[in-house]
Amino acid sequence: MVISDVFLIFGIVKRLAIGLLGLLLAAVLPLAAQDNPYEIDNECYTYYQQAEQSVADVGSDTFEKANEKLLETALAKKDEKARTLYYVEQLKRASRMGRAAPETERLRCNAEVDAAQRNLMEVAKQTGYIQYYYYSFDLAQTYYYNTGQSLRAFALLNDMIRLSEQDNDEYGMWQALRYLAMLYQSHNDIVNTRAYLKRCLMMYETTSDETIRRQTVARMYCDLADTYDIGTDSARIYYHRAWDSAKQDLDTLRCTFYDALQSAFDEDMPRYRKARDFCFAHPSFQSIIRSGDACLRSVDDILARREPPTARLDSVQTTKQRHYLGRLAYKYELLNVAYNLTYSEASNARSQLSSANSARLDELSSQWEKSRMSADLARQSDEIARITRLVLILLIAFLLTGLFFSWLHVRNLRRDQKRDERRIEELKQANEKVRLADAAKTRFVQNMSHEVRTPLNAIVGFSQLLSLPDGSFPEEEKEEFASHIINNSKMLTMLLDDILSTSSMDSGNYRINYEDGEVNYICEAAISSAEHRLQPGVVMRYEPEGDGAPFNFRTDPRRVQQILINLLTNACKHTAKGEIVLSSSLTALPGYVRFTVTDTGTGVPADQAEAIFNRFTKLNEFVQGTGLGLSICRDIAGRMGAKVFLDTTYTAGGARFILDVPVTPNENNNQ
Amino acid sequence: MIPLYAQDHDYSRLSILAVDDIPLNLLLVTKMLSRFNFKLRTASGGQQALDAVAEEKPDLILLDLMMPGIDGFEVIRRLRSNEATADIRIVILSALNSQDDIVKGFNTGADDFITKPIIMEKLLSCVITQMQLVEATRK
Repeated sequence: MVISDVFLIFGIVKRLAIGLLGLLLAAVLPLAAQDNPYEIDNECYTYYQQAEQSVADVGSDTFEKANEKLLETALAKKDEKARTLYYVEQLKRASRMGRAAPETERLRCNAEVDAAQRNLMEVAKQTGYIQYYYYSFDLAQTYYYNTGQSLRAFALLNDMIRLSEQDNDEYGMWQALRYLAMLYQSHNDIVNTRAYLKRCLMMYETTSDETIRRQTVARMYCDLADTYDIGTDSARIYYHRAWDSAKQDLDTLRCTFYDALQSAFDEDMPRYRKARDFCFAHPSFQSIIRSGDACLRSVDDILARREPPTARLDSVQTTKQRHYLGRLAYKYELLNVAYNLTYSEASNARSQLSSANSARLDELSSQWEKSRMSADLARQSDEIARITRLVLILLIAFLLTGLFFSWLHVRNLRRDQKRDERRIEELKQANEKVRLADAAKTRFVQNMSHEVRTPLNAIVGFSQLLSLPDGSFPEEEKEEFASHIINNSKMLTMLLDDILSTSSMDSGNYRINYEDGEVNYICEAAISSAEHRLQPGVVMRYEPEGDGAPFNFRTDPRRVQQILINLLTNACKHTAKGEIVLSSSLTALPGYVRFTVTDTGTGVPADQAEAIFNRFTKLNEFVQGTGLGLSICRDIAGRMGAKVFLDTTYTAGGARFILDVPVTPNENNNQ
Repeated sequence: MIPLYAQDHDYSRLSILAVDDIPLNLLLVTKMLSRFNFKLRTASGGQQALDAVAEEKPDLILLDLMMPGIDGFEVIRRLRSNEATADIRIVILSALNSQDDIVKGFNTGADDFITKPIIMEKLLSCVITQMQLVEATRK
């Protein structure tokens, strides 16, 4: 706390800083030596004091020796605080050496100070004496300030604020604000000084941080009050605060001095005299309050309504005091004095403003602004980067969505294309089917023509023979001719029946009439109907199951008979020798009566087993028939719930067709 | 009406081969030609026809077209491609009656084409004409 106090003074009065420091150290350190206020090891404290005393002694190596001893002892005694203090002293020394060094050595000194500061920061962090961590900034910025590198001092303090904000360290923050206020104060920047002091004091009033609460703020209130004209309410309030919080003798002195000025302005003579006397009586008055003596004596003159001697007025050095004296003189109608003081103040201010100082200040503040702006810019560019990232992500998401949808679209297109191709293929196939069907129909018509002409040929031919004059042929031959005509007429009728039943089935105009049928009867009737189609030498017979007992069942006997006749007629066409056997079985397939037509004819290749049931298909173009027979059989069988098919397992030569008729048909399923 | 010149003419030196896969058709042709004394033979298929020709060359063949195995067209081609049998007169008797079939028949080498159902007068006058041509060639 003593040290920070010391540096407060550094900040305000730079020209007197060195001298004052020595004075203060001289005043404070012996006091501290007695009760070891740092609470470090006593031996360490001794070395610390030696180092502290010789730190400004640039010419000798007393400091180095003392400080090395301090480190050794601290390490030996494991005194972390003493070790930290060693680095504090190192930084102080570097700073001191730097200030003493010529301008040409500046860069090297800067590097040394920076290095010492970094060391201190690291060690302070390690040891946990965080106040020294921030103190390192104070020392370094004081060095830069005193060597005319204000910008670097500002930069350091800016770093300090940033770091303390990062670390969420109130004390660091507070210190940084305080140093900034001092820096502005030393630049006579009243507005910023006031602002930073107010922030500091506000923090002090509201904080719960004990380290801050322990600080003496009377001096800060004094400084804050100082930024207002004496006599204004603000100045009054802040002096009161300063007075209230004054804990040290020096603070009391300061407050009393300003109280004297204040009461002089308020024309409160008793109070003025009391304060004035207190100041003059105080041993430190001359050294602590700059030109306070000359100032108070001038006030005495003005209060007595006489002009202070010019020499005395000239020895009042601070702008503040001269300004105050000018106002006071004006108040007590010493216009000459007031004019002189104000004029000198104004010209002084003008000279100050026009001096390199003010130019540098402008530059400093502009650079300060710049650095703040660059910080802002950095923040903004962060923001921009963030927004850019967001936009990019959105863009990518958008692109991906677009890609996804176009993929979907393409996929749909492909699917449509495939579907179209499939349909084209289907249409092609359908077209091919139609073409084949058309060809089959053409062939059918040709066949029909042939098939119809064959019986017709017989009919017409034999009719002509019959119509010849009597005696051309014997009577029995004529009878034979007549029977040929009749047979062929029947054939022609059957042919026409085939064609007509096909077309009637096509139009759905076709009924199954269920009634009782008897298996043996149906088979024998079929045989007698088909027999006359047998080729010469071929035998047709019926072979019932077992003893051939009659079996009645619900069916359409005529349709069953029709199918059997068809199968038998087919067999006749393809069988040139051997036999055609029709058999029936009630046991071959349960629930069905199985009729089998087996011949010894040309047979049917297995791969044609289904094709022969197609309409107009004939295996052999030269065998009589419409090619409708089997197709009709299958249609009729389907209507009755029966099945007719080629027995492909029969390989004994010739063909075997099977007709399975259900014993209990579903009579409702009749169209 | 049978042409008069044919009446009582002796055709016993002329031989005819009737070819058809349907027996009834052969019977009909036989009966139709029965009033003339042709030397008439029958064959029930293409192969049988070629065999019969090889056995004894006929003067005239009455040929059906649609037969299983060797059909009528093939029979004509084979006979015409053989020098020994190329001069046999061939009349087609067929149920095929489209222009295309008739033209095809002539192009293959047939001398005449009669469609079924057979009209007797047409058949007889055709056969007589062919026979007169045969006799004329012989002289």
